[in-house]
Amino acid sequence: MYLYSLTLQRATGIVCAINGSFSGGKSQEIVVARGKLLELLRPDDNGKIQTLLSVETFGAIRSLAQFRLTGSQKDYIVVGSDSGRIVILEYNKEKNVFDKIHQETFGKSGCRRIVPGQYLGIDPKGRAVMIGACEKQKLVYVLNRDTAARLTISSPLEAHKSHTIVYSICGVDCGFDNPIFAAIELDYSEADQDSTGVAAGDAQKNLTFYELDLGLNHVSRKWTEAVDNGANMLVTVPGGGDGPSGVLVCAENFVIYKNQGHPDLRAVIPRRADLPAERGVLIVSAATHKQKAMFFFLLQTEYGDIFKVTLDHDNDHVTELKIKYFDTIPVTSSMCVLKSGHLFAASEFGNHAFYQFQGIGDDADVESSSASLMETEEGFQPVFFQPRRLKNLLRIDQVESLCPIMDMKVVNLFEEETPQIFTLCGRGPRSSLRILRPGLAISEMAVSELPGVPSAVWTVKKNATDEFDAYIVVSFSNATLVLSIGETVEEVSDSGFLDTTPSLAVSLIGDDSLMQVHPNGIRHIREDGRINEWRAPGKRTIAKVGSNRLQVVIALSGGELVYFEVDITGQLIEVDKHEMNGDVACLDIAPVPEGRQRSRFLAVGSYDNTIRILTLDPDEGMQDLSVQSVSSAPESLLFLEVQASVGGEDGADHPASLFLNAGLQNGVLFRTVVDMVTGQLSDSRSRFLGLRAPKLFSIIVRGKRAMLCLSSRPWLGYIHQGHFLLTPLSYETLEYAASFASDQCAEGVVAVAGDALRVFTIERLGETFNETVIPLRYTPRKFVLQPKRKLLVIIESDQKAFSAEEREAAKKECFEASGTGENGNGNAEKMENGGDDEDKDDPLSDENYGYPNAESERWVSCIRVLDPKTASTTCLLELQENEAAFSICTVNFHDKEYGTLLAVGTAKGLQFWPKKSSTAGYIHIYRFLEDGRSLELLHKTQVEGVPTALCQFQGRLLAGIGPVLRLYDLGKRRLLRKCENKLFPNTIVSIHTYRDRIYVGDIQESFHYCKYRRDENQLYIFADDSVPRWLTASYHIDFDTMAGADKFGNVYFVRLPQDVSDEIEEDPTGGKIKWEQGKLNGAPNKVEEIVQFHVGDVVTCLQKASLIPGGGECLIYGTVMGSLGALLAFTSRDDVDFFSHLEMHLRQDNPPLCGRDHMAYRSAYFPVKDVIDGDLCEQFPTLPLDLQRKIADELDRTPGEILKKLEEVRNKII
Amino acid sequence: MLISFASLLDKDIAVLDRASQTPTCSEWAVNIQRDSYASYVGHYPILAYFAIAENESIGRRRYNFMQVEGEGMGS
Repeated sequence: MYLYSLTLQRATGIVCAINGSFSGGKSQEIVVARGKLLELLRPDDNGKIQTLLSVETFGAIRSLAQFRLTGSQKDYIVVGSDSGRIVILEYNKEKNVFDKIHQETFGKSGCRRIVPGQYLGIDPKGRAVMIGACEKQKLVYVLNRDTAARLTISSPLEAHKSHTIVYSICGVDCGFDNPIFAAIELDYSEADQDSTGVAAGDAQKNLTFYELDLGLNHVSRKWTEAVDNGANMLVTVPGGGDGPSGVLVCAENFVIYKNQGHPDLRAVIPRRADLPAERGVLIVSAATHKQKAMFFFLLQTEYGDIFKVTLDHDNDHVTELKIKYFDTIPVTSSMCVLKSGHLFAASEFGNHAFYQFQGIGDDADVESSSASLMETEEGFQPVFFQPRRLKNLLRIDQVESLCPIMDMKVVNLFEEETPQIFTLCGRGPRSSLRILRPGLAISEMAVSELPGVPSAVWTVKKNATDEFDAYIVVSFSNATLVLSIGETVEEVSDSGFLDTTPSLAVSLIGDDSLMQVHPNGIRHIREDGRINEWRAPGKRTIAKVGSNRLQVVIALSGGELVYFEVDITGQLIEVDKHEMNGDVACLDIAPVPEGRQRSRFLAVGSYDNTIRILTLDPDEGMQDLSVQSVSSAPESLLFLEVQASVGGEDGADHPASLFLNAGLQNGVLFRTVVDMVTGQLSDSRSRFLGLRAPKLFSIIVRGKRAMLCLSSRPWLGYIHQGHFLLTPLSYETLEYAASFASDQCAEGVVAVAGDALRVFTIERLGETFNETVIPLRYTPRKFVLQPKRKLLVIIESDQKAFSAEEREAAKKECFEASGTGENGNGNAEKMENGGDDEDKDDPLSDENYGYPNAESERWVSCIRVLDPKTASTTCLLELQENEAAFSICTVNFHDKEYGTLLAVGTAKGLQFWPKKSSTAGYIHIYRFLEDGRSLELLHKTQVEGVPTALCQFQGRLLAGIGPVLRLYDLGKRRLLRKCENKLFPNTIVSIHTYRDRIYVGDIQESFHYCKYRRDENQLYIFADDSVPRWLTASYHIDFDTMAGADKFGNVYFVRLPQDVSDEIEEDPTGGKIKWEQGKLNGAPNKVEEIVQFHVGDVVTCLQKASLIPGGGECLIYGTVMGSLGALLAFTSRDDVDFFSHLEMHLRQDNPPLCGRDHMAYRSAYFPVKDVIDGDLCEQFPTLPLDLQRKIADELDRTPGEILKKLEEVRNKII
Repeated sequence: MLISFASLLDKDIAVLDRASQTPTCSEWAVNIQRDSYASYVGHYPILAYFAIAENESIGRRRYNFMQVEGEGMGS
């Protein structure tokens, strides 16, 4: 079995983010690392975050830093990854790519202990960079410019210290003196010698300054001093005239200012009043804002509170360190303060947010200072504060993030054309169920009822140079309605259009006149109001029209074509006539090429299943240039011109090209390239769009021509980052559409459907899925479907949290304590924060502030029945007394008294540290009431461990309780044990069944294949895996095959060899004799690994599904970083050969951006087996054209054929 | 296995040097432990996975792993 791996939804979580001006000049951009993805984001003028570029790097990006050479206008990006190399990138604005400027190898690849890549420190003046490992190694590279002003990098200078753990590295701002780097280090050499643990307890963290002597080209340890043992992070303090220099050491509960030759200044970090005393406060992310006259730091704690840190200093002497409460936002992995007065917050889980500063925290607030620090016998006096609603920040945009996906099911619950993907996302109060549908999201601007059922709609400008459209013209079966676009849209009668007849086409013709084609003629309305009318000869009527700005072709009934042109005076003149063989089904004229008088090509579709290209050259007289036969009669034709572009927003150079698109009556979109000179058709592709013949319309998307195809659902064909994408829109069936530009909506679409006129815009281009979000209460763990009733049952649980009642009481108390003044204040701000819905009814929404922390043995959990259609929870059972749900399944017991029941495995008071323990485990059995909408507890059975897996099996319930697999039957008051097997190595985390086989997944030891012998009532393992795998997800593929994913980011398939499988099935003892012989330390048979692939992200859910009607079945996976991918099985050997060769060439000619070898990355833990990386193959179109041609030559194909192949395989998946 | 010492770099020799002294059981265990934690800290998705399991922030999880790495066998 060979598989094609393709990422459907790129990772949405963010590992780290940096900001700077990467394209040069004044622009502000953000570079984010999303695991193995590097992206460039830019906030647009409306404060919306736009993704400019997204590159798959095939390596784990661990750290990012930006630097700027003195006097330069542009920032470079330094990437620390698992490649054992330092990579310096420059953003190339013209080509929209990251250019790799330097790549220096220093060590082995992989995230190793002593190979640098984990930390990056930058000299604030951009003269040097330090790259460090978790332990021992630190390397310094000197950055400089050569005579041609190119960036140069030196050979590495070592600053190693063995037996040392490094917590953080940063540059120290010391102006133009020798660059200094600071590091928090912990020497463990003594602790290792001492087995009693005394030395380990005494180990002291140090702050060390490393000085790079630029003269001697040498790094030395300049200064080292003991620092608070809770230190975890360093922040550079501006220096060299801008500030006092030195560093801020963030430690547990403290922020300390340190500098060489300067006394320490220490201030406590204020604590939330409700925080348990034993919990510390740790800073997890920091951002610095620096202006000419001032600077401050924003530090965020692990609970989400942001503090503003300021230093009072005169010259180099700091007199006071102040920490003031600023605001609270969800916990971030990185924060970026932009010069434009915005804050980008990359949330560690859930949606990322973009804030605007409303203030910089100058108002009075809870503050702690180094001057007021009180030391008592019990330690330093804490300072308390109460979180309040946002005061200094205002959220203006958010970027959707699925991170983390906890569980996923692909099912067509809503009976739409394609299945929906139900994902459980997020953590704690920010959890949600997200329903993903393939397609682009649209936002509806207006819907208005019309007096009849319209058949068509157009928009026209009054002048070719106008920015906005002037009229919307709607045609009915016997009339035409003209609406004028202004402040409002209203009906007008002075436009000159004939309103007593239906229209066939309405458009701007020439520079400033309008044309209306109706069945009896053409009405040409000149700018000064003169009207010229051309009447159809005799009793013939006009059937079809094709036009561009200067040419019009009409088809009369019977099949005669009449060709008109606009002459220099703006008159529409009949030029030529041409008789076709039969009725014309559709026609279109290519747009007039830049600088030309006319377009040469007319496409005519006939009912004899052909499309002809006719020339409109006056010398050639409308003769056929080429003929293409198609599978069904064409319904609609559209020429789409892709203009030549060198660079620009979309990236790489494209030669101009012309595509002819045809919507066929069988629902297929047929797309072919038209030779710009000869009119020959080549490189045709077709794709099934829906059950209705697609109607094609040209619209504008991001200033470029795009195509809207209206079949049983609408599709958009557009160019995104250099690729042509054809994506469905998540919208209802439309009849007819036109582009729409007005004051309020620059790039919209107006469409008719039923008796309504709809105006909408298309959002978030480039995305594969659009999502509907339903918020949940706690971290969702698993869910099951009740397919018959179309309901979901979700289990949610959170450790270290108070139950709902306790939270409610605490909140009430807190508000009472703070008095009404605070409440009144809160209300006033509520108005300001109007955009934020969640905040409105709840003064301190848990979404922003998180749940208050409790002790580690405290759990909250709930079981929820949810109707996804109405997004309503029909039943919510909150578990009591620290009980938490871990597994769920629906089960039909033999005795059919109750029908389908719900089994939920729970544990009470579960603790992971210091040892995994729980006071009790239970299996709850619930009965569905009210047609499945509500649950009733039938009984609760205590078990000896945590039931982590449940599954129905032959009318009984299989439960995995720690290492025990047990079969239960339903009793009156509890479950009854029927059979068990205690021979599993660790903890059972998944159970799948098929016929009499049971496939058990162990948390640490991969799969075990079991069999149940009913006669002897025995469960036994007949096969297992020889490789230890820490399972995180599993799925049953077929009788002998299982798919699994492990904690280290691998997806793999195991299969029981055919002969072994047959033997077991034929053996009357079912392999039992062999099993009893007890060979091979485990099961007598071993499964074979048939597929292995390193995804590079922890896969949490797997499912086999087909995402499109008629598409191939693939294995869909979801990951912790919020990405979705698919593995599609190849059906032909030729395809396998083709793609493996393409992959091989791309590996050679297109090495990944961050320096990791592609093959090595995909084989990070186990050698990759029989999987072709589609993400790498899809980088083919981004290569330079000559390289594309070179690879294509070696494959004996043309680049076009390769692109077609890539498109085909993608279309099979989605 | 034969190793040509001439072809080795300094750092390789250092590795061999250390390898020649057979580590004690606890040294070996500490090494494995440190390698593991360093790997967890380096792979963000795994860190996130742990953070979800323990309902902690990723920053706190990373810090705790680093602390354990420092403690070694004293823990």
